[in-house]
Amino acid sequence: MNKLTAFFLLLLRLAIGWHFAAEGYHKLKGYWEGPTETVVGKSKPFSSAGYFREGTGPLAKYIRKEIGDPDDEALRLLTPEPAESPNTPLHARTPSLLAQEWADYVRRFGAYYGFDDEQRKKAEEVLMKVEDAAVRWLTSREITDKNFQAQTQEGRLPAPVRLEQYKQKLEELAEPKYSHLEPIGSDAESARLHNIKAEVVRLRVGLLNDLDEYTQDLRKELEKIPTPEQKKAVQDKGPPPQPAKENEKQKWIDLATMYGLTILGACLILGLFTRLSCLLAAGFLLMTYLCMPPFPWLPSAPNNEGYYLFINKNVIEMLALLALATTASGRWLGLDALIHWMFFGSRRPAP
Amino acid sequence: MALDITPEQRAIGKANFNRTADGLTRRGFMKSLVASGAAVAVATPAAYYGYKSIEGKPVKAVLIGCGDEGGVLVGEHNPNYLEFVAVCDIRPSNMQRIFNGEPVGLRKGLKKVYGNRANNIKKLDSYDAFTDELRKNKDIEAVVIALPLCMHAKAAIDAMKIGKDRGKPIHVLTEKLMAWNIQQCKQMIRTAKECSSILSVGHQRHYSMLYAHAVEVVNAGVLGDIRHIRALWHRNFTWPFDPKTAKDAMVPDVPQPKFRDGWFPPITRTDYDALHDKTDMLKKYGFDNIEQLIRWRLYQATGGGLMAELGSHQLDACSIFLGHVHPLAVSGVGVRSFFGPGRNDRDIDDHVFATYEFPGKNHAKDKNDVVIVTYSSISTNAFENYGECIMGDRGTLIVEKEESVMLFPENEPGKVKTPPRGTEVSVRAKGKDEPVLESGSTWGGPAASVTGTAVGPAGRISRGYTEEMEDFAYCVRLWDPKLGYAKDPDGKYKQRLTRCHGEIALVDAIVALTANYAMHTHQRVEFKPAWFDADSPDVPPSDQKAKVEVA
Repeated sequence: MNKLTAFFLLLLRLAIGWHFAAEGYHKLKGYWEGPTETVVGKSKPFSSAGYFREGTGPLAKYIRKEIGDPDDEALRLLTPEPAESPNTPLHARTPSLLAQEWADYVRRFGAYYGFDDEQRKKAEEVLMKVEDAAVRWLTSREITDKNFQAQTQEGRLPAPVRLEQYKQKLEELAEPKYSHLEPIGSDAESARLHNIKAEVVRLRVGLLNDLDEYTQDLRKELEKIPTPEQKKAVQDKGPPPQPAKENEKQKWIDLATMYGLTILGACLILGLFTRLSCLLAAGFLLMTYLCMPPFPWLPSAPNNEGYYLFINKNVIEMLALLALATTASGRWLGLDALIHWMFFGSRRPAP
Repeated sequence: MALDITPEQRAIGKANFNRTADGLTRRGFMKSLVASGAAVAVATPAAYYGYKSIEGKPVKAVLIGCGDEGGVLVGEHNPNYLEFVAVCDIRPSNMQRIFNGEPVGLRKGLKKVYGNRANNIKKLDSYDAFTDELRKNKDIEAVVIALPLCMHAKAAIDAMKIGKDRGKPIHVLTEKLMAWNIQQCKQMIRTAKECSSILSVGHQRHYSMLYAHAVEVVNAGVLGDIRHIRALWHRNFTWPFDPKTAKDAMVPDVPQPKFRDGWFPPITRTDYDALHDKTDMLKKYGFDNIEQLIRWRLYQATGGGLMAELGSHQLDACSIFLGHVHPLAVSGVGVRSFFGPGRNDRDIDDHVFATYEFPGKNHAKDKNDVVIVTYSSISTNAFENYGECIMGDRGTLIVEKEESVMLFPENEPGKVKTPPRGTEVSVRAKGKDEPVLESGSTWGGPAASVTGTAVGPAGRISRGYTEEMEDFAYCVRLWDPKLGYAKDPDGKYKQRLTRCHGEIALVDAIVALTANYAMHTHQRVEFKPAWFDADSPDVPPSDQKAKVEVA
């Protein structure tokens, strides 16, 4: 290998290391800082949830099964239970997942402030009232004041109509209607799917945002229950529980991503366990590739700055890492040289 | 403001203003906007006011005073420019509120703005802790003061002097009004020069894009000659107070509010327990007792009344509309006719009416050329929105609630078919450099949203707090302490100062406090030029001995 080749291979390792470390550290910083809201804008700590939620590739589908499919979840939050009889009270028809989440929130809230029996009863009443209101919104086909005040076009439609539209779009996404177009050219299908997917997301986010208004109502009503003494007592206890519960698996994936990127990046820069780091980093890139691959029959990823067909930049970076893994670049320049020297003495570095 | 404007007329007025500002820019009448190299609709406040991003190296600051105004400053500051590393307040409830913020409104709280980083912000619970921190922590570059008025001068001067002693200046941004009397204002300016510190005062209208555009339109002369400005800020504090709205248990031993009144908040257990027996300490800082500390705006000895709290902002705007001129004289009436013992008692007036005489454009030649500015602030009726109404002989410009501007032409006999408030206008050039309003023309197409430039990322209209703090931080970053306040041969300061530095804010203080004096003594007071000169020892007769001694 000539010296120039080695020089550029080293440079390549440092560049990829920097890319990983910078990305990882940026995410970690946001995680340590927590959510912020300034005049410039809001920021939230990194979460891979959106990536997997919107990912179109085979791996994203698998992970969605593990951490929960957003459409599946949305339907369980938005589909009211059937009325057993005409006298079934509205709150008894609360969508299954919603009922479960809200009941859990009310329980955590009560435990946080140390509610007594009477307060717990009051909280139950509040819950029932908000459930009634939410189910009324989810089932009523009449146009109400809420529809007139809505900011968005679809917000002006009654919720059941929007829910039907959403379900219909989901079906279209699951069974491509125009699959016969494939012989003509798969690009046609890809563009159409991209649009349907955007529609699905828009409808889902719209409905969930409106549903969230009821969750916020519940929060506001619950916050009226604790006495000033109870509020004072929890001052040092950390923030009150939030309606949305953390997804443990999701949290684990996020932490692994943030620390993994930073550590792998640092190892590549320092030339420490270089071959292993190259392989792990390549593995990570393969994962991202399989979550959102640029296959022509899949909707293209949002925010793509170029046009990709089968090969995207992640693949290229992955191949570069694999190539680096075949060299002893950490022993040319890096801590691996030190380790090698400690265990094997000053033998010439392998090519 | 104007009492009988219909929503349709309001919309027409706003569109008129936008179209006129846009037209003036295109035709080159609004020089500064053109010079900034940006189209009106895309000019950012930073480009307009000529400061740049200092991202990555924010100015480290301490906030002293965490009450209502401190809360707004925390909510509105951009941490990329100004980063609070410590906050100081002796009221435990304020300390809690500055971190937790309020669920709605501008007071977001440090926890929301900084996330987990808020845990690193130091809590200083006394004035001595504040000065100690300034001495010890050399990283601190600036102090933001949102204390009661009587404390402004002491805190500002102490901070600047500590900066000088430790060999690295401490710059000061203090809330308005600048100080409790004019002597203190002049002392602050002198100290800033001696210590080579930047001294800036938070009259945020100097950084409001809305006002900037309104001033450009007025300056272009489309309103014709201005003879009268009516400014007002009316509020209604006569509704009964509901004890349930108190955030904490109320103390029975002190007078509690009878009416809903933001300036007469309830005194709660937390603050009372922490402070009621520390009278000696409170007296040192100018407060007779805990009531005076918490309701400082209501006492002559600690605040400056309605003229200082509300009027100073609006008269500041009026003097800018009239070309940065000083008033000639002021007279007025002030009464305390609603509040009294057992009824949210106070010693400031609850209704003030001041009449200012400002020099007109040709006042140098013609002494009769005078613009009358009337100002009123009352506490028993809130029918009219607060704002300023500028009346020229060719048009009227109304600025309302710091968030909208409307422009209406005067009716020219025989020319306009619709009444003036229903008239759409734009601007046309008459001759070489004289723009005039033209009715019914739509050459400009739909009105560009000039006022939209003041709309921030969240779709809100910035009242100027953010820009005021950003520019302050930018000036701090550029500042060379060795050069200090050196001047060019043409009399201008060599270094960049904020738009409302000490000498500008001095004028606002004189204008507000002299009105108080005129009202209290029932006389017409003429302003003397020497009062406005920071280097002259002359001060208005309103100046009394301050309770808080300044070093």
